[in-house]
Amino acid sequence: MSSAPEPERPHGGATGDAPVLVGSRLTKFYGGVAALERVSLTILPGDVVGLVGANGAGKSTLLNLLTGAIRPDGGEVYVCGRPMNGQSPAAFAHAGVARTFQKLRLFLSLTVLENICAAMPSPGRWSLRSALLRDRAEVGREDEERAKGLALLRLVGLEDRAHHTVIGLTYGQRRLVELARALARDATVVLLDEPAAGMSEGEERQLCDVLIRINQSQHLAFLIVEHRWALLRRLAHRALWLSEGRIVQQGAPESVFAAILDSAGAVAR
Amino acid sequence: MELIVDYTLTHLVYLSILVIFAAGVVVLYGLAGVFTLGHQGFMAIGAYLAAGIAGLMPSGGSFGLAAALLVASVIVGVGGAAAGGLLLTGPSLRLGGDYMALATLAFSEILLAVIRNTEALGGMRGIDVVSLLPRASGSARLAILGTYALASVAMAAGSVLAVRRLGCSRLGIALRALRDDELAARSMGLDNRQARLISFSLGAGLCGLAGCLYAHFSGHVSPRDFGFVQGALVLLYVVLGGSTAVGTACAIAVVYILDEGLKLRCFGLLTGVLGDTLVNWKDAILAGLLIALLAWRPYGLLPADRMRSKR
Amino acid sequence: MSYLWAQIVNGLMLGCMYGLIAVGFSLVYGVARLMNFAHGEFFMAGAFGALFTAELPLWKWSGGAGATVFGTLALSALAGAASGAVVSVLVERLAYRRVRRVSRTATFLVAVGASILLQQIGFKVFTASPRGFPDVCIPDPAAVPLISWLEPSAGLPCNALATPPLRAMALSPSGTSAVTFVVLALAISGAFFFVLRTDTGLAIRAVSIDEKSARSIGIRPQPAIVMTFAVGGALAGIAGFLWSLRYGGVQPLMGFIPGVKAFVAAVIGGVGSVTGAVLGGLLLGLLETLSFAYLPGEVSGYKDALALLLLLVFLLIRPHGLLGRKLGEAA
Repeated sequence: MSSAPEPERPHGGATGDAPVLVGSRLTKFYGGVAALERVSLTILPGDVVGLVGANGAGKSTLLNLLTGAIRPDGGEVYVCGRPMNGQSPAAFAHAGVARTFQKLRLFLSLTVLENICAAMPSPGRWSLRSALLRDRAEVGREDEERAKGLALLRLVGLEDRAHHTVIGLTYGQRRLVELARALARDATVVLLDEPAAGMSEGEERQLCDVLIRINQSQHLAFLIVEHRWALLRRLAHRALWLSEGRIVQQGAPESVFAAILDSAGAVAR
Repeated sequence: MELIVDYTLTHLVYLSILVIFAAGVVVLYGLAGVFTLGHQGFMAIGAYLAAGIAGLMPSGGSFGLAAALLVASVIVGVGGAAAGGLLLTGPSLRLGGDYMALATLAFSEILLAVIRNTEALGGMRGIDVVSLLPRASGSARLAILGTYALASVAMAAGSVLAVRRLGCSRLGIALRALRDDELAARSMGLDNRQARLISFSLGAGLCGLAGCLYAHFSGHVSPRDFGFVQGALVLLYVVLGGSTAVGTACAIAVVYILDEGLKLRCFGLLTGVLGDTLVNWKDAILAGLLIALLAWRPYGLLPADRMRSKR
Repeated sequence: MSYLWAQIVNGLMLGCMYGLIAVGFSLVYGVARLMNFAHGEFFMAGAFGALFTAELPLWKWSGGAGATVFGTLALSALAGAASGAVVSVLVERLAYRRVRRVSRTATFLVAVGASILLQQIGFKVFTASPRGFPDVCIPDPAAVPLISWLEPSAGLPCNALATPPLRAMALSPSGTSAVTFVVLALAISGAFFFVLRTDTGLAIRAVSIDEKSARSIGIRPQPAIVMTFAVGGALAGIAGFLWSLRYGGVQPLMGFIPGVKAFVAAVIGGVGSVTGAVLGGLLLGLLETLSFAYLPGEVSGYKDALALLLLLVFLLIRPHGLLGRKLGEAA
């Protein structure tokens, strides 16, 4: 607790500079091997951070720690200044973190629209009474969520597939649905794990446009794990290079990429 | 003629009870995705509690008292079964898949062992349920029986529609999302604990309601009525019905009519040709048929596309 | 003191039988991710197979009394194993193979269906009346050196017109125990040898740890699964033979309760582990026998629930059992 890096303000007070997501000296072991070693990072509101590194560098582990899917063996995670250690993934989500998964994890028996509505923070959702009685207020909330879901689908260009099941979509389209699902959370920071993997060129462009538009209009922060540097060049304000469980370098995307190329060249020489 | 109507109405009641029971299992298995093998235990709780409440009726008590006790027995029976369900929510959050199936099985089998060994509950023989309803006898028999049939069919239809409506609601979407992918759903802020609390209390409650009705209508409950095979059969109907309430009700109707028909040697042509052999081998044939059905249509008789391509 | 020892020995023998059934169950679960609810019926099939073999007039072909007794026992044990294995492989081929990859519930329900089907066939073919292990008809019991193991049967006499005259003999309790012990030791060590020391056993273990990787190094899972079913069925069949010898009561529903207990034994031992299954069986057998012997009579009604209580305790405290790895998470 005492090591909390300036937790200025509790939840919701997104003044200009209060970080929305902080990882502080995060460490995770898998069977005695450190997958992550004292990794720290800070994401400010509106930040777009690219996370790069080879396979097995610990990128997905870091994402899982930052969303509560796994618990760290050391270090702390703060969401909007609140310490989150030991909390469930649902608590992370409620605190304002949304995510996508490297290996797609859509709800396969739900329609595209239902996938998105499932993620919405919806008041009164757990009331059995209103689910069964379906009074006017409930119908109103349903309509509202459906409209919001359709708007998100329009944003990613999948409005016409709203009532299809996820099964019928291409891989890239499924990625876009996952993105829309994460956006439906109304989060303050969204963690994207290889969002463009398996996408066609058109889909990748769509993804880029959506992310830029959302980032600018809603001041939403993103942490993006991605192998495609071109994408990060367009999107990211800065980049982190993770290698063997440590952050080796961070800064402007170009300088980080140059450093990676340098070290690759050094190995080749 | 009268006999046929009598027979049909009686079985209509039992069919409805089975449908209500299955609606409970649809909530547990179909919506919440809990692999349950212990739902017959919830039904037993409902039935024995109803029998106990009915036992409070003094001989020659007024009609009003009987009606009050009837309502009380349903409330207590459903509540008791729901409480039994809530008991299993904790383990269901910790145990996955097959292990949860074992835990529910152990729950209901231990419950039945307690019943079998408790003299006050009638032990192995079971107990007679004091009748709170006018017993169907004499000239008014068919009219009374008809009323029961109507009431139970209405309740069954109500349960099926309620479960169906639940499935489409916002709550239902959350339940199905958690069933499909728990980690993803929790990362989207869905609370699996709340989901399990709701589905266990509702599912077990419906099973308990079926138990209540069974106790009042049959007039006798014994541990044999709630055996493992009965429970597995209902789960089978649910799977054959594609894990939806309406599909399950249809599957139950088909199998039930087939079963009773074979018992009665209807289907004249078949029984005429094969004679007693068919009737003697009825259970074996049904079991074989169901295996074949499961093997060829594992997502139900009329699977929705989404279920078929699930894995 | 001797009462205690007798009870412990009884418990161990019962436990070994549970263990034998549990090993097959556990192996099948490991390799095919299938809760084989019909496993108890393989046990039933083995018991019937052994019984019918024991009823064969073996004295006609064998030289003397000793050979007749030994031959009968050995042949019926083998027949039990064979019928268990055959039924098991048939069920795998006809019922499980298609649904295995579909969903856990579907496979489980198919298993329940197969179990009911086998019971129904049992009712039609063997009738519902329970039978015991038949008396062995031997010529001239006076010449048998194993006389202490045998005692004149109280049952029906053998064919008196046969030459030489026959005498119906039954195994004495100590004889039964000795035979049970020897067969159990052979079967369990055979199971260990098969799983730990043969190539097929290695393939089975590989598939049960990771089917994909096993496939990638050229192990085909299907033959491994068939072999697992065969061996599991054979072990259950041998248990069926021993059960009929020791406890009698052979009837079509006999498999259900021992089947459930083996199931429990497999889970508390750690599903997928042979040693665990045997240990779980021993624990269960001992607990059951001792509680039956020492606790007041009213508790005896809970004998079968005891196993499930143990199961619940294990599920809540140690869900992966004594020796198991973590399995059974939602598919």
